[in-house]
Amino acid sequence: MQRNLDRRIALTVAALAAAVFALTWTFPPTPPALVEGMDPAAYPRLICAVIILLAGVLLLKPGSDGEAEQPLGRVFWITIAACLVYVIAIYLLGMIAAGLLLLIGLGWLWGERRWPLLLASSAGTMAAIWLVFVRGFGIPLPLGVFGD
Amino acid sequence: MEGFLGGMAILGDPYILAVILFGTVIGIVVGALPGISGSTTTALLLPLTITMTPVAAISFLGAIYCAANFGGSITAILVNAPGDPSASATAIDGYKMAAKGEAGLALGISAIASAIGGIFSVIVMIIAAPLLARAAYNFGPPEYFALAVFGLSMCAAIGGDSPAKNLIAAAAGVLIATIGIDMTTGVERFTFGIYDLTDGVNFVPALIGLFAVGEMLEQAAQRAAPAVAIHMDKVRIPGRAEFRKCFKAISLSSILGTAIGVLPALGATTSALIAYNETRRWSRYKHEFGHGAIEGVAGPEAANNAAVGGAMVPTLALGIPGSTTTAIILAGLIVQGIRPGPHLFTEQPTLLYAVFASMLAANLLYLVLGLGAAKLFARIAMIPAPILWPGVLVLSVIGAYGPEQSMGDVYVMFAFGVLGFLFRRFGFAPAPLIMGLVLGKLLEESLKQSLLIFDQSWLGFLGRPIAMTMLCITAAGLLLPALGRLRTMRRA
Repeated sequence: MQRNLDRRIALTVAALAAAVFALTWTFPPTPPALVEGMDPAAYPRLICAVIILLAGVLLLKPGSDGEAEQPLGRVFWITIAACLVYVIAIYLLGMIAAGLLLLIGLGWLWGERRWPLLLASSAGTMAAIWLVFVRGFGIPLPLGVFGD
Repeated sequence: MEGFLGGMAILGDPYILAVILFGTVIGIVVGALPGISGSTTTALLLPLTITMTPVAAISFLGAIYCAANFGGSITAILVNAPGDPSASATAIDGYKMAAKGEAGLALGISAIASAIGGIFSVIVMIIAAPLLARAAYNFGPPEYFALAVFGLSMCAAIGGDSPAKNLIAAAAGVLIATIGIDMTTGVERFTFGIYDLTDGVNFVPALIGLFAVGEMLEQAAQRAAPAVAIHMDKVRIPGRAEFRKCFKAISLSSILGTAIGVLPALGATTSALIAYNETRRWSRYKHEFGHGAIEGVAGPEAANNAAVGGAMVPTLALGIPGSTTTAIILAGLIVQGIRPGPHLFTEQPTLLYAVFASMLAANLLYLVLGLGAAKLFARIAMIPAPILWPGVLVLSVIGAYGPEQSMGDVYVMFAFGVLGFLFRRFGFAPAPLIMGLVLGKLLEESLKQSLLIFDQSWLGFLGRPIAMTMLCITAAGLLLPALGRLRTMRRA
């Protein structure tokens, strides 16, 4: 099982490295007079070649029969969705308000049902972040379309 | 001597002392939080240091690094969930001691062994780092190239499923470091017309994404069953008989931990695991190991804290990170405009000795805090995951946004978060990627300069004995274990 997985990983890594290798041909040509030591495309090509070589080693490596990877559960996909919603909410509501909503929403989705604790800890965290970053270090955080 | 006294003088500055105390407390607390390692914390709090002076920044990061290893032992002993990977060996006997009703004693010996190991390694660092820097003072680009290759090759031995995967991760880090404008020719590489990428990938969002967001997604993917906490009364200082029993373990592990820490890439976790095995090997009470041996706590704790000072030696003297956390500290210094290396010892000796002083102070502080308030730290570490991890995510986003006030960095952070998650999922350790990212520029610049010196001929390396020796050691280190495995396979 593990060996098959490692083989698939090795082939994926080699394919990605080959794609990056191919991308180096899209770099604009450099006049030879400007090149010092090594062409700007040659170095990434060298690294890609090393990665392909290492993928080959991984492909040939004898693997053990490890455990199959557990499928990703509901909480994981909820967290990914929450990250996307959070980024959109930053644009609309600003970083502090969006953060507060994320702390409450994600905390609840992760299984915290003690509302007083959830609300108090979320408000406390955002207040601490505002104090340290905005008041303490003077970093202006986005206020969102309504705030701006 | 002037630099040394200047460095030590920072301990008289109330601001620096407050920064060290804050770093130590944060280090213990987050070190104790299961899932958040010292490297994750250092990455997460890196944005805070950007507004600090270089001395305060490195004192803060150094204090976190020192204290997180000790903090990890608190939850390892009380709930069998190592707060930091470096405390995984401590959990074996520490939790058994706690189960026998000796939690206070286990925490006491952990604090003392950690402080002894930590202080020993800082003393070694004070002596060895300038000597190593002096030896490396005349290193040219070929030697630095060989050193960087050696440092990256050491990644083969850290974490992950296999050496090949670790080396792939390190090479991927080196490749990511090529993103942006090539400094010698002005050619844009892999920027895809995105303005935010023209200066390359910023260290801060990349580090936060890989460690904090990647770990958060991993936690979301496999919500672990809550560990059962063991009751403890208060921390007990070991008696003379107990201390005598642990003396050999602490001494041996302090030396081992420092020596392993000095090797590039190998840090506290490797040191603790090797020290646990060696402590058991040389112990008169082998039968106690695995059943609550006090030496089984003292050995790994002395070693993982000794590795901290050891890891700082190549980081400061050569600019080659000795561990994952020192790679992040190195990135923090680069962000501050400081490139560690032999020249730093002549140009900014006060800064370096300030590092030594702050680490010495942090070791003493966590000894006091560990003996006096371990119970409180253990209670803080019981923050429920649904409160903790969303908080880590919010802090990550703000931490990534803060330094440049750019949403582009937030996207970079998320991209690295997904990459970090995929790495963990498919058996790659994220640490080699960071090593590659941090060493990438040095590797490319030194290779280009070397080829310029050698008139484009790779054979020029043959005329540089130090560089050739390092390259031969690298080749031997990579090929000999592989040949050994091949021979074993043929026999089978």
